[in-house]
Amino acid sequence: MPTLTIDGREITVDPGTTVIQAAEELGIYIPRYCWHPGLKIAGNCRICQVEVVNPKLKFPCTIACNLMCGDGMVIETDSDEAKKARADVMEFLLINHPLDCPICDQAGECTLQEFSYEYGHDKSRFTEEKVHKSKRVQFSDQVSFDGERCILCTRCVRFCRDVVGNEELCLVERGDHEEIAVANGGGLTNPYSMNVIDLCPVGALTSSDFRFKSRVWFLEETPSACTSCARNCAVDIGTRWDKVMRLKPRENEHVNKWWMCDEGRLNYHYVNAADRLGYAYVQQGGKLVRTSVDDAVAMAHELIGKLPAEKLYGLISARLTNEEIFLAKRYLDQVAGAAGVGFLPRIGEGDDFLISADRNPNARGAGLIGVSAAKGLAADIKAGKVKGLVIFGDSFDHDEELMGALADLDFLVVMDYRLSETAKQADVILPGVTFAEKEGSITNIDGWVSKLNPALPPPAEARRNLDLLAGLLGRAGQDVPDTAEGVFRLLAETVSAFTDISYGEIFAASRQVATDAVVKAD
Amino acid sequence: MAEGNGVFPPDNLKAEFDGIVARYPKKTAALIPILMRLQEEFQHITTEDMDGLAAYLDTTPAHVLGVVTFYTMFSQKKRGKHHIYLCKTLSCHIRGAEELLSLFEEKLGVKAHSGDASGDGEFSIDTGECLGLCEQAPCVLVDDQAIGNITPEMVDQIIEELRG
Repeated sequence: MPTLTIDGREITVDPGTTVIQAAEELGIYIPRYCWHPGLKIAGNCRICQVEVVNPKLKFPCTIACNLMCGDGMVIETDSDEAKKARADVMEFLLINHPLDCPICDQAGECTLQEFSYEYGHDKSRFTEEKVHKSKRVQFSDQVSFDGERCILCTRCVRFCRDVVGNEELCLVERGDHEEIAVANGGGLTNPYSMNVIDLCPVGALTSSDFRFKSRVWFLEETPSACTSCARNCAVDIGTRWDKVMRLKPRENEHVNKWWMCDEGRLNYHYVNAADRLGYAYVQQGGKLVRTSVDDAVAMAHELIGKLPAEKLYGLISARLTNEEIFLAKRYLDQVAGAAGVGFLPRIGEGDDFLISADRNPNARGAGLIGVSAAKGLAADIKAGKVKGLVIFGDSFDHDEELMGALADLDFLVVMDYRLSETAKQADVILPGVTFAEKEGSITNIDGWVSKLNPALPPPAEARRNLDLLAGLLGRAGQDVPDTAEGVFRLLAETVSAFTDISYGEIFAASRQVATDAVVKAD
Repeated sequence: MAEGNGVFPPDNLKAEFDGIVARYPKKTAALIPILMRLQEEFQHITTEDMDGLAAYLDTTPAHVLGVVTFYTMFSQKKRGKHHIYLCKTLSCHIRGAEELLSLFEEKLGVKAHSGDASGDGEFSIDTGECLGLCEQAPCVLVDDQAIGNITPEMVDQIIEELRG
């Protein structure tokens, strides 16, 4: 176990640890372009220069990313020598860089800008014509490439080759003509391709979905989780003008490391869509008529109360949070006495990396709380066994069998975030919210509990789902908390799998906690 | 495939390529020798051949493309049956390489570095770095034969000989 000194602080590390990693452990940030904790070492950008203090060395600087820690090593990361070496590297990197920051989408989160500001020269000595390379190349529908901005760090090449295992990108040509290209004319096709945009330390790879929509410094970023499948990748929701502008993966060692899939990343447009429910509606004479949310809650409760409980079924979406599922189930079980509750299963194609075949983000949590996949619902409605249906947070517009069965119901109550075809059939529609507008926890396929944070206010008169559910329970005289924290405590008291998890652990830290109890529940 | 039969290696080269692969401890070591043979045989290296070669050598099309583009002697556009490489480094330049280039281009009807071959598919021209024949400047490499002390008069002669 080598012990070394970095900036005057001693640290003992495992053999094979590099200096840049040891510095990270000490909280010392060494600049980097090509090095990334999730990728193999390339050592080509040279910016992570540090000084190895040793009087025998004529040139004391070397790169920290591929320098293995040695016993007794003394490293200075911020000495004049190191800073000078970085300034020289910056000068080389900027020789052919177009310096088009004013029109570059990376500006504001570009490490080339940051390290140039920190270490670079304020003047360029280069007076020749810059080399011109490919510009505005679409690597795929989602990934745009600008060869002149590229510093050839090969993070994108290594990500596709080593992380995804699909070597689609490569370096072509050589010398100052060298650039990144998609191998043999195809496009970037792997389902994780957009991670190269985050990995790209400069503006060479940008998102076709996001670029030119907003300067990044105007975005408000809210840590949350992706709800497109049962993986629950940690994300930052970038918002502006009360709209979601982009999702970006956030590091989480247990769930998604640094990555997320393209499908999840792009699955936010529905939050901004025109079909969002801003108001409550009731069915009157074949028409949906707008009403106040409180009236709609009262009417829903009244409708549900009129029906014999054995004819009532509740669909509780496994897209809802643990807290919402818990309150919805409590209402249906304890107040309405529904004959059955279940969620709509959603199965897609999964892989052995991040994408889970289970497209419900919280099926695991629903299962732990006692809600399982609904079976034979359409047949039960057709057979007259179910006459009243309550849907919390879901729709089945494309399920012809279920849509066809709706006509046989005495009543339908829907709480959802959009005016779906399913909702249009409802007698009462309660306007709820999406993942981007609420706080709560979801449990992923491996039992890790993640937190959603509200990045936006609910649209118009829509309310947080927890408010609507607490309102329904309140109608029946049940006083429940309407905050996610309060409901989680209630959940932890009631459902043993959550008992050992403290609210603070999931909710205060951005990292998730190991939910031993949840894992044990198997 | 270069010959359009959809198989890699092409039947007429299979035994030879298998022999090249057998020479090395690792399959990928045969990449450059095989590319050189493909270039010689077909005057260019097609995307299909790169894909086929990648599969043949258990590597990726990205790896093959990287190598093909790295070396300027491999071409993705079809060169003429005879490729003329004219040195433009200092000694040759001083001794009239520029004039020779114009002559070659004019007589053959093809531009250097266009990647194109002459209309009859017989000739293509590139210029490039030193051939190491400075004492015989100006010099050209015709296919794989170096010729020194070229004069404008010799250009016609070289072309005629090549046309046979």
